[in-house]
Amino acid sequence: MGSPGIPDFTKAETHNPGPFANPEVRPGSLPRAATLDWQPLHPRYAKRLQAGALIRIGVLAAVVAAAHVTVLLAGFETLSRIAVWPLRILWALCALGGAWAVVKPLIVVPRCGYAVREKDILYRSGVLWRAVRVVPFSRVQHTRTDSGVLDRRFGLANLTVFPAGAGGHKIPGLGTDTAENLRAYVSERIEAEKLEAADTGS
Amino acid sequence: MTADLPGTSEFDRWRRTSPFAIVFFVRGTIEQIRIYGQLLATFGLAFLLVRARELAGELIPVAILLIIAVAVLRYWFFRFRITGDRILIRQGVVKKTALDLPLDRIQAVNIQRSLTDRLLGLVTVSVDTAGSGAVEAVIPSVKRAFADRIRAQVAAARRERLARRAEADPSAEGVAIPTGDQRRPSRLADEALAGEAPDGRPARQLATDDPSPGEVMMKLPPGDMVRIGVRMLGEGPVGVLPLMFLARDPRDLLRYFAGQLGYLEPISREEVPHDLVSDLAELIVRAGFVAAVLAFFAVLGIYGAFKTYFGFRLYRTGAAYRTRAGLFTQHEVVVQSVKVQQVTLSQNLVDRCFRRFRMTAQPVSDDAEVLEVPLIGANMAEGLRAELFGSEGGGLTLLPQSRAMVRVSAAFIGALTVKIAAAPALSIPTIGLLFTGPSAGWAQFALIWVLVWTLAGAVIALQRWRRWGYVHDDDGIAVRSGFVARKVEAFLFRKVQSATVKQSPLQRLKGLATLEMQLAGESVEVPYIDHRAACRLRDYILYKVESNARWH
Repeated sequence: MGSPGIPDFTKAETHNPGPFANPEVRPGSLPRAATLDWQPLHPRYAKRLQAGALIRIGVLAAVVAAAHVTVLLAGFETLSRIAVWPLRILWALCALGGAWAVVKPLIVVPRCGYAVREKDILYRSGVLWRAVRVVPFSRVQHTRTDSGVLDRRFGLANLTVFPAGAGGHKIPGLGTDTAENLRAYVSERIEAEKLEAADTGS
Repeated sequence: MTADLPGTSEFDRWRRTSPFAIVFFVRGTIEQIRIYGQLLATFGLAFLLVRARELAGELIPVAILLIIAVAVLRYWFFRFRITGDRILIRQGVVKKTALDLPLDRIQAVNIQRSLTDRLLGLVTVSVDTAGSGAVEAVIPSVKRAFADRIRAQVAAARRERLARRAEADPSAEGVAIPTGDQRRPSRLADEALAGEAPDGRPARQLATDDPSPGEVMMKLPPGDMVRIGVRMLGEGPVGVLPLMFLARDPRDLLRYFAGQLGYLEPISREEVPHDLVSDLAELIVRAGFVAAVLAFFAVLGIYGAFKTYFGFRLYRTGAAYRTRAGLFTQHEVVVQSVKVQQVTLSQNLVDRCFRRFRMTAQPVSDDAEVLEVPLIGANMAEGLRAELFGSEGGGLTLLPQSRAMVRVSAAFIGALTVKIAAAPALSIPTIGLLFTGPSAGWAQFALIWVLVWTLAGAVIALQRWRRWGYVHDDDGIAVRSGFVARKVEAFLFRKVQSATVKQSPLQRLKGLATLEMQLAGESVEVPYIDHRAACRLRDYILYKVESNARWH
């Protein structure tokens, strides 16, 4: 492979880079992450997150309820007097947690999304603290789709792509078919990139 | 290609290692049962001492014999073999394991020589493979020729692959081996030679106890061991100094301040008896104490430095860099320059006094062994960086004091101050308010508390901001960070595995962003730079990644 579109930087700029001044790249040659139509996560993913969080809150509430009943039935006066406030706080936490469990996915899920391009896959997430992560296919070592009990119940699956080194990048809340198609596409792209790499000498 | 290498038959059959490897297996067995051993130590030993002291005399020898027996069994069932294109290892007494390592997946062949190994002229070979959570093969107490053989065969396999590619596509970037002249290899073919004998001598001639592993680039004299040892104190001296100025009894100080704020019955300064002479005497005693503590740790550090780095040498063979050091156990690490993901130069307070640095080069996988130069001068570091990066990254620098470094946005200071100070500054007064209710004493306390935390946060944040800096050119980037110590991490863009642009609410307000670049080893962040610049750089990195598939 030759070197199509490699920008012709002058050495002077090299030694005084400034705040990422990086001009002279042919517009067509650069992949741009800014102008993308992001694919939303599956609509059921919000419900799945709500269900998961509510189950956890339910378990916590059950524990609190058990503690409450124990305190009431045990009949120790000092204990029940001391325990009043902690129990109220715990109940309040359960209620708040339950409300948050319902609301949070509705805020978070619509703001997450992924985009697949010819050369890489992007995932954006976050409401206040936002992040856009890009994984080039040429660096992906392997991929994985998984779905837990709840995921299956909602017909969802997660796709994880693993570059070399530290753990994989997960795209959660995809429809089962979407996840499988995406995985197949990514695998295909990895193979294509490998062939290309073999041409250039890895 | 591999057939013409000498000595193929010697290792191409199932072999056991030297019986002296039993020492290695004993160590391994002890390592394995250490967790249970700790339980035994807490419960069993107590039982033995209290209830059945007479049993101890029998049980301990039995335990030792058992460990040795297990080690012997493990030695007996450990067999290895090198075929044309792979290393095979069969091991396990009860649970049998078969390890099958294709030579072209091997990233590095490292060597350790324990004291027993060195007395007998043997080596312990460990083989790094690519990928995270990769299996690492350790073959204890074998002849040096074995290591040389693996290295030669790995290099040969690589050379063969490159040659095949060059044949298939002569225009391929960087692999153009002139067909008529095989003895003038290109840079890549040169890299392929890495790890093989210098001057193309056959591997067998190297199979002596201590063969010449290439051109010596640098060595560290014993005097430097002292420097390394003292360096291990790190920021310790700064931490110990306040000991000198602590109050006689910290409780007095606490009571004094609490009294001033009206929480406790006030005590006056006069109630704490002191006079000039006793104060002076105490100061001297404390200074002596601090000096003794520092000296103790310095001695420990110097011993550690001698143990790990004695006789340190850095060699170069082709494009392979090799370090060898150690007083008892000699450790040898080989890293090829193609495999290097990032180069790090760090300098703590002590290093700064010596005007030296510590340099590391991280190869492909994060569990692979790192090429470390424990003490290096600025010029040598820059030279080595330039060599490791080859023709690329000419505009980078590893030196933290370099004027080329560009600072990040000053908004970083405010953000970090808030991050450090917000929680402690607000939580403690709030808790106080809950317990005592609003009062003048509380307001005074809260004011001082918030001020102190904000000030402390601001000082820390300012210092952190002063450390952050970056410089990049067309091929790579160098990022400086640190707090008291300074660290510069440099890498080539094509080594990047994935890139993330992150924005906090404050950063969005100011049009800033944090760029995170994940490498095979670890990820490097540039915080608080212009958002558009971050996106542009991210896109440029992706472009470099996609137009250059070579990263290991």
